[in-house]
Amino acid sequence: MMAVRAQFENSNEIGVFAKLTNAYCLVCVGGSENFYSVFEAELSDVIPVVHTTIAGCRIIGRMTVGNRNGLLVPATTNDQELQHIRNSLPDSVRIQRVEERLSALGNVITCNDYVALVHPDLDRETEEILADVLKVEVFRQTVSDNVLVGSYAALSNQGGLVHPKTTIEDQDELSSLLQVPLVAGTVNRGSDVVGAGMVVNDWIAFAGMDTTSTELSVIESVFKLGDAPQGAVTTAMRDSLIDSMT
Amino acid sequence: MASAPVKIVSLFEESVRKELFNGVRLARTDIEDQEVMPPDNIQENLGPSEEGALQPKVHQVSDRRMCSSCNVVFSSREEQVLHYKLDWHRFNLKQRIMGAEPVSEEKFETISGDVSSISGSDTEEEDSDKGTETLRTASPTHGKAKTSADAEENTDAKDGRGRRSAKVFFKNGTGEIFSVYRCLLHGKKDAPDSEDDLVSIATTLPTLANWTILMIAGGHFAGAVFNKSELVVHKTFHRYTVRAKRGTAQGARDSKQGGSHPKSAGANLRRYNEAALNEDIRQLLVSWSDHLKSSHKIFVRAPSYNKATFFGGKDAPLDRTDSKVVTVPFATRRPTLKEVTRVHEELSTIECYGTDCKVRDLPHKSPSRTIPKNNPGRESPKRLQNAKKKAETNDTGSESDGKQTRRPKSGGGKQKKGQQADGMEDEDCGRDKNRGPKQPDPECLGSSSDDNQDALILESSLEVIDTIAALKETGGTKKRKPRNRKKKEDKGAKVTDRTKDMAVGEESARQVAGTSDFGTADMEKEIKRLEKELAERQLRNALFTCCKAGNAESLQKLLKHLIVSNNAINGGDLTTSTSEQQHQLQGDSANASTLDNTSLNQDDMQSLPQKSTSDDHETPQDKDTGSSSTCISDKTETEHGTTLPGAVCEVTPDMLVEALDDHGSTLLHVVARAGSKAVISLLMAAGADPSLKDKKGRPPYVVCSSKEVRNEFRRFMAENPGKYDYVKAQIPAPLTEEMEQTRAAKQAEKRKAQKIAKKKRDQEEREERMKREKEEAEKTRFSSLSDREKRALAAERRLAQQGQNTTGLSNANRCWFCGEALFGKVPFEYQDFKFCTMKCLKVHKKNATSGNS
Repeated sequence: MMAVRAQFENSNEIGVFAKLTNAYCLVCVGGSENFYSVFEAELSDVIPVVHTTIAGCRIIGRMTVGNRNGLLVPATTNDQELQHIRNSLPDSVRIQRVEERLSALGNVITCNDYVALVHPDLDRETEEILADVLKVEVFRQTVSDNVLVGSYAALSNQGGLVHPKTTIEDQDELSSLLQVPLVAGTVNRGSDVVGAGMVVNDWIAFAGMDTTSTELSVIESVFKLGDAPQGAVTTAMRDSLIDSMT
Repeated sequence: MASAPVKIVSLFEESVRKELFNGVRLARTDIEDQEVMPPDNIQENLGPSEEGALQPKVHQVSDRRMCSSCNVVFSSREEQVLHYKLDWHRFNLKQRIMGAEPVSEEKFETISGDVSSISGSDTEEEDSDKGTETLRTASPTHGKAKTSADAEENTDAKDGRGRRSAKVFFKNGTGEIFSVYRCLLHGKKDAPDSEDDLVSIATTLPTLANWTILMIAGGHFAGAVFNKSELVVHKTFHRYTVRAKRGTAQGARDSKQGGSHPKSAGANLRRYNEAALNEDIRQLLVSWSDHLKSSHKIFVRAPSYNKATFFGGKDAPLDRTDSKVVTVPFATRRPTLKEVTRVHEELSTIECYGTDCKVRDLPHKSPSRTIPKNNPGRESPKRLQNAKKKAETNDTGSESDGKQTRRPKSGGGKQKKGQQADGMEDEDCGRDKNRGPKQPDPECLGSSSDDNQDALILESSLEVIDTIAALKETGGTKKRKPRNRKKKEDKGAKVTDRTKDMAVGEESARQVAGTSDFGTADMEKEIKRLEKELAERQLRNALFTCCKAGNAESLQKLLKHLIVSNNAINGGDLTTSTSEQQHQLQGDSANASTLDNTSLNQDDMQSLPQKSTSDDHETPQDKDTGSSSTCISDKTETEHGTTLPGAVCEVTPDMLVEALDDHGSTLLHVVARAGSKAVISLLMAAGADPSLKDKKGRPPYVVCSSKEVRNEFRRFMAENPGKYDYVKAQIPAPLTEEMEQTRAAKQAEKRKAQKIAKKKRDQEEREERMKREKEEAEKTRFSSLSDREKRALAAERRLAQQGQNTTGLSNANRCWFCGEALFGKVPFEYQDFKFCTMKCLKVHKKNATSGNS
């Protein structure tokens, strides 16, 4: 079971307060350490979990965008914060400040290690920085006609969860574009802001405390977390296995 | 989902229109769209994924490579990736977000080519078709996002309160819904009452086909007269009125900046052009007057600034109130002929939405505008309330004020005084207003009854004092100055002081009230008492001024009795000190006599209003404590009884030690800070204690401005060793005459030594400088020499050196061929050989070559 429930000071929108990638995890500075310790407990052996703020704000998940290769932060980020993040993250991760009118980068961009989906109005320059720093292919597209692709989609290298009202056609289109399987679904007991309601990387997902077990199992299956391979064993390889055992 | 028009019909296409207008009625939202939309169910869409969760299904990457916003299918991944980089894709994406149809790639090329055309006059080829299309799709009335807002707005459109939609929707006999622009049917003001009227107007619409369209913006003018869809006459003008990049028309900018107009040549040019453009347009419209008269509708598009061109002035070409004149109800581009024709086309279109369309989904209204909250026109009610309250306070104030002041005073001056009171109130209020809204005024804003009362009492007490001063004026004594001064200090007083004033004023007023029940004898006593207070205040002022200005002479006059009494107490040892003071006074008299006492008073009052007001406060206190403690003040009391009204009462010892201001500074503090050393010993001799500390715990010695002032304290200490607690006063050691002398001697010696050292240093410096100058001169001389001379000089030096080295002749420096001495010559040389002449050199060289060969 590698989808974990967490809560930030009674808020379920943990994607707002944390940013999770395959190389690092940013967690905002909160009133208590509960939120942080959930991440710390799951991740600390593998990737750094960093306490930070962005421009003094706690909504770091919505302000930043990043993947294994890099991290983009808005222009409002302080020098101190930037230095702190630089010091805390692995050297392989490039960090770049972006002058972008749509400064909540996390809301307007969603990406995995290879592709990024961005807001149609995003600056060309930002697009270039994105391609350069995060080493991704950038696509301007909407998610079920919502321009805030970062809010309405959660993406990893294994799969993606998109706004629940995304049509099958749109899902297919996006899936072919992003080259990952997609599922339309919800988190936090029916919330459609899946990007803000959860964070995910290639081996673990965190969703809000209200997330139902059904929602969690959808998340696990689409992001291929935890016992997904086991699932494959019980379905695809079952016959051959049982055959040989008998 | 908002529906884009299915087809577009021109108003002037007879056949189609007739069909359309058959059995037409107004399309209503409230009647027809009753059926409720099924609530959006998340579960519906969640279905597949939940299934997937329950029976683990392997999610797969889709291979449907297509872009739904551009309606294209890709054969390969590369093609797909490339497509998303295209402007075409971006454009279509935005179209999709706005709810518009995607455009094909070819169409997009032409559009994007069209966008960049910026020519002012209309010379490019006619491709209005595409231009119209793009603008139409971009126009806000088609916005898909508006639909949710429309739903609620429709409700108030029904009862006629809300803003009307730019379009009117009709439904004809076959159930087809179509719309025309509202401005074609009626103007803003003369909306028909019933729907039938509206429908009847709509049906007559195509017959009223003479339209004039006038557009002006940014120095461009375009006008055209149409009959049905035929262009009858048209004209465009362009003048340079708008500065590039900044953007506003010159006149608009001028009117924005109050008074200061830019005076550049460009600005003048633009100003001239504006006027010229207006003139051009006026003339054109005059020449078109027949067309204008015969027009059924005149569409005007002018930014508010340019409206005056059409409607302003006495001989305005158009009448604003004319029902024919309407504004263009949608956004337009730069006025060109092309744009005018586009506007005509747009206005004359009937948009048909088909039969199976819900009116609710249609774009009904332009988005409502919110009026900014802090509208200066609608002043915040709070402020008004405050103003009202203020007025009330003033009213009651002057009323009861009159009562208060009349009670203690019965006589002829009564009426006059009442008037004065009112006058003063007015003045106060006026001042309050001047002070501006930021500063809260305890008098005028105080809403609780207590505060009000305080304010009134204060006013009355001030009043009493003023009245006395007025009486004195009539009595012929010179009391004009103090009164003026008081007013000034009142004006300068800060709010905090005012509150203090209030407290003290209350007290004195209570006293007034307490004594007011007695007869006229008591009244006189009262007046005397007040007079005395006034005199005391003047005295304090005088004392303060003397101290501040260091006017020892007048101070001595003021303190004479105190010094004498102190002498009596202290015995003989003070005789020396007084003689010392006399000595000092003579030294400072020149300085002191130049200062005019009264003028100084005023100046000081201006700069130090706090001190004087606190003087006021101490008055009653003094009476309680001071009078009982010392015989001297008793004496003043008795003296006072007999003196004339203007007479000055005497300084009490308390006056010398009391704190004058908020910082707890005594007179000595003031003197020390001001550095008026002449009065220090005088004050201390009179009983001003140097060990009294201010609020910051500093005795006067610490706040001294200079060493001389500090020395003054120390001198006094030396003369009166036991008079005060000098340890507490933090005066370190006495300074006697001998000490000063020895110090002076030491100083003189030191100075002498310094002088000598300086002299020596100067001399050294001078020598150094001369040396440097010499060197400098040599340098310039050498550099000004020609190269030849320099060489000669060098040679000379060399020779001189040689001469020194080899006394007598030597063979070292001779011509290699003839043996001539090369002394003093520049030798000709080749290789290492040197010769006296070229001839020798040549021969030698010849020989050498022949010898070698």
